[in-house]
Amino acid sequence: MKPAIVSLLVFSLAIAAIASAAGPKISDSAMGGNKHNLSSLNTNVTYKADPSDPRGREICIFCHTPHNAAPQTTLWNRRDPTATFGHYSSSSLVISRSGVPSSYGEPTGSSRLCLSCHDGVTAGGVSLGDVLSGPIYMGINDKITGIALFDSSKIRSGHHPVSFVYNAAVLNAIQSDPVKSSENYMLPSLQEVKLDREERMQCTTCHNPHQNQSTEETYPIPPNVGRKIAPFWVYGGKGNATDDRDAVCLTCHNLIVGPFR
Amino acid sequence: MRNRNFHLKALLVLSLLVVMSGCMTAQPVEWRDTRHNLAWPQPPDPARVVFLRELAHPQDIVPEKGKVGRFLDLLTGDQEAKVEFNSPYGVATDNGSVVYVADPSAGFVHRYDLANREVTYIVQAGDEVLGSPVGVAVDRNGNLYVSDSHRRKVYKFSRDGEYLQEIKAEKEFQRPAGIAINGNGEKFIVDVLAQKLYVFDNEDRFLRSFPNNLPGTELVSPSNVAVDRALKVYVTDTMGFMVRVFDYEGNPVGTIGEIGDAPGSFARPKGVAVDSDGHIYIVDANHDNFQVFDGEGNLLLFVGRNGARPGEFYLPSGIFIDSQDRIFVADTYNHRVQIFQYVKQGGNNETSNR
Repeated sequence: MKPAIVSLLVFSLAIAAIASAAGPKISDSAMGGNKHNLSSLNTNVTYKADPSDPRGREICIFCHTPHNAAPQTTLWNRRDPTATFGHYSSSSLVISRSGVPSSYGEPTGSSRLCLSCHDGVTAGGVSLGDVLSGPIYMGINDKITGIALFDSSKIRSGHHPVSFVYNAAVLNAIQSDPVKSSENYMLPSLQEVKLDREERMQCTTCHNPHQNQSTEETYPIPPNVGRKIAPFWVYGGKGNATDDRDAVCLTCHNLIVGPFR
Repeated sequence: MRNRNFHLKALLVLSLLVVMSGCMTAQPVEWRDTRHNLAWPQPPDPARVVFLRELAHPQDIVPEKGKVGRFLDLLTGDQEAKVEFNSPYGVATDNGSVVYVADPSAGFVHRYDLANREVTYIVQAGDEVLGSPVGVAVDRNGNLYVSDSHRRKVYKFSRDGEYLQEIKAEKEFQRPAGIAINGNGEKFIVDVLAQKLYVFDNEDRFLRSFPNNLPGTELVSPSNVAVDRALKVYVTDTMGFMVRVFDYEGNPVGTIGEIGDAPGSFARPKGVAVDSDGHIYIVDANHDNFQVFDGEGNLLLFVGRNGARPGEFYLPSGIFIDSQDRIFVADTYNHRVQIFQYVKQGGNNETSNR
């Protein structure tokens, strides 16, 4: 076989593997949408909008709030111009070595949208399981500090730190640490794993809320026997959610036994 | 790991109690932090809501600064051991000076006694370590009710933090969340995944599920609940983008708000509370504020914007209004509770110093 044909064949097989593993798109009307589609027409979810509400058929509004054409005036405050409620970000230093530009005010950007629902009430806090102890060290000198510290408490809510800048300067600082230098930190080479426009790692760096690219319904939720959750990994090339997860993690750093030390 | 954590937590509680016990003669915490002078709306409109203070660290309350931290270091050898607010969700008081804050990611309930300057933590119910406490409420005898969204249980504690019993409905809770207690001592407890509430009497006996399922008024994603003096019930339907109002019997009597990003509308409505004049306060995590409505659903005022200064919010969650019209907001990703005062029109409820 000619190399070009081999490549095509490999490419086709890869596509086939991805296609078979990926879950439904959020907007898929034939299969039904994914779990982030809370519209009343989605046949795949238990918890969804009121079918008698016309707006309940829209699929974007559950995360992306539409503009109001008709704001109310505030009766106690008639002088204030009516405005929409904007979203801004604040920041503070995260990695404690001076000169490392990893500003950090968790959560910023798109991660706000995720965490505004994934609060342990409206949507699960996605616990990683049982309680672990101790802070996560970026290294001897460079551990994440401040309230955003990814410590045992943070792990209980089950999320990797988000909204921090991860660029060449930050990487360089991590690699120069005596402990972290052996943990293979790098900027993501897997093209599906993307930082945001401001070089920040966000929830969407590893998760694609619009379409699960990995195996659907993989992880059982211990308290709710029988229910499973989709991991929504951005990458599905390995054909199963565990390997997909590992690939996503490994594109930035090693998987360390007991990573939360 | 669980055992290790269990012991650590048990140790924390005991130790902090020991630390605090020598501090009974301290002056009560002032409700109003006079360094800040913030009111809504701004002059010349008469102020209707004023900023009182924030609770952000045990050191704000405990007289000897740093003592809590040092004691924890000594115990755990971990300088990062956290007793600050991690992601506070539910907040309630005993209508006096004791503030309870449910902190799901920390996995415990913070208890701030502002009069006695004590900070303690409720970390377990009997032998069971709390998983993800999200809702808190206090009855007129000072008993504390805590809903735990991971353990799928609702626990009752005495005013001293002693575990008393589990509160059980006709079915097992699937994901209990907001709790409100009306003037009759009846508890209304949201079950998010059951898409309804359960009602318990003054003696914690299960009475009924709530509301009545009339077509077009089903709850999509209930999260928080409040009751008013007329026994009406206000349920935040977070993914329905509104607060649904019911009479005591569970019949729908109205709705407040709709989806949107403008004043009067919601993106992620969460905490709900009612003041002594029947105004309804609704927190929106996405809008980083709380909005105040009259009983007809008309918008009166909004308080807050995105940020970390006093009067600003970062993905706030729960709200509670006490009998003195003090407003407590769990400012989740600012890791604090902010306290405000509702000012009656023409009235004179100056903020008292307890």
